[in-house]
Amino acid sequence: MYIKKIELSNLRNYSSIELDLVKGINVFHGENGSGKTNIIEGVYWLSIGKSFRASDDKEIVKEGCDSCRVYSEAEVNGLDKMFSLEYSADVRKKVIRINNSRIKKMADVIGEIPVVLFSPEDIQIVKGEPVLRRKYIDQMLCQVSREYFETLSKYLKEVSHRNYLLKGIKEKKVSVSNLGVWNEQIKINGAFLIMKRFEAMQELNSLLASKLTSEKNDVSINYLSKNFMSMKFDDVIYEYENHFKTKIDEEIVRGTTLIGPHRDDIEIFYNGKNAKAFASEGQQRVSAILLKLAEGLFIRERKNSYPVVLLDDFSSELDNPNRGFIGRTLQQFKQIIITTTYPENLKELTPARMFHVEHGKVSLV
Amino acid sequence: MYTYPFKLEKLINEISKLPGIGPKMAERTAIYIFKKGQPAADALSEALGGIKDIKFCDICGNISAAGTCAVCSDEKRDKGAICVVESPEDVITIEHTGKHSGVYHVLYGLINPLNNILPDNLKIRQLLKRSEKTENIREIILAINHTVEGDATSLYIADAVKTANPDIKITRLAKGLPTGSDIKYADEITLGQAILERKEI
Repeated sequence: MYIKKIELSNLRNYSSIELDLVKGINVFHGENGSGKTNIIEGVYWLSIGKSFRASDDKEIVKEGCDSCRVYSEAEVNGLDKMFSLEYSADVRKKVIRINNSRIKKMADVIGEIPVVLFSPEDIQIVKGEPVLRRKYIDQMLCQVSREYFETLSKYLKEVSHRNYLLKGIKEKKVSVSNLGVWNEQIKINGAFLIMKRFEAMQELNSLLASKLTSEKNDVSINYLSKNFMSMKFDDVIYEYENHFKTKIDEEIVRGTTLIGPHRDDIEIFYNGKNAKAFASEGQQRVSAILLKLAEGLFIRERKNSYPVVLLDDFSSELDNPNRGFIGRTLQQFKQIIITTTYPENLKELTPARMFHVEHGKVSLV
Repeated sequence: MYTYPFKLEKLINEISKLPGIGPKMAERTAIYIFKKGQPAADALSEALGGIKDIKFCDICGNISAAGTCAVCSDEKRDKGAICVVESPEDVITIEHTGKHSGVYHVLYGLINPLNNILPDNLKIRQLLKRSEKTENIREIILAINHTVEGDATSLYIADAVKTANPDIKITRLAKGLPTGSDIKYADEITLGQAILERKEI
């Protein structure tokens, strides 16, 4: 699939722009602060329903405006489709449309325009907190499986209900017996999520080994859980039951659910060693890029269609000794949208279309 | 500084306490009633006065004109099958289907710890009382939304009823395809459920 046209209205610094994109590499270059990333943010927002750098949708609405909108025309499996996402800040409501018909749930849209985002922050997947690694795996799975997306949102809600009860029990406002139904739901949904994550990680490992290993770099991952020894559905259920029986006092004291996919982590290995602890900054950066490429190939295998690659601020990767390998791997994706301050340094990546961005104006070069 | 006459302010204040009505809307509504004149206001106040004659049914908790509602006092209704719903509106919706010949039980909400709604805040104890062996209930049909809170409530009721009386059959409305829908356009979750819950023909 690829995006043919994108329109941003009242998004960040843009009042209204219309861009015709092509297959291959689309480059947006301009000074820092000119609004390059806002274009990538718009595409990402339409695809995922959330921004990658704003925690609140309100932040992406242009100052002084009530609502913003991203519209796109894309070719999906040979069919031309229209997508739009509009957000009204006053009522905090999103309206999603595909081919002009209103779509009720984000679950029906996510994965329609699959994307994989590369940003300078990606190194945090390797060296940052576990939440970022969970986000990495969850976002990938949400784009390829609606069932995963829905189960994850259910699960997180169930955990917050249960945590609230645990706090209530600690304050002696509610009785322990209230936990029962939540334990039941959480163990089933939690086991499903863990199993799917584990399966995905095995696929990622085989992609990393077969397509993304060079003589210098070898990256692999491992599901890391303090509580679950086996990621098989029945074993996870058993572990949960055991935990709910034996660790209840600790959970009440801490006021939170202590096991499950919301606490698990991913261990990343670079050339056989734990990358977080032993890899250099440069090696961590390569590991992150390889993981992102693996995400792209994973989406491609599951959906039988290449995701759109969004490369934010690619100049930061230019001194990477592995850029030749990375460039060649990227070339196989159908469409790439790049923002950069130094277009002359793209080298291996031959642009199909170049845009210049200056103070919220975008012109074709 | 000018303000509305006190009696109008009072009306605005009362209206603004209603759910979903903000201060501006309350103001507009109050002025509308004033402009409509006394007969319209009398009709409204008479309707409001009638609230005292509306009650909760002693048996099922549904809204009723008498101590026992029309469904519970209807001899033709099957008292052995109770359909459990979240709210009185759901009773009306299910009545429109004409497919339920039994009686009802209204919970007035779903278990929702984050909003401080626990089983004791709902009419679940009354349902358990109705489930006792002496009451001869055969089936409890859970017509409860398929949401996180709906699932938890269903599970809770199913467990509690089973403990109270293991002879009662407990069912829940099927998840599946809407009538007249095209399989092509069904989402994978709904279609998957419909396949799992398929029926022999």
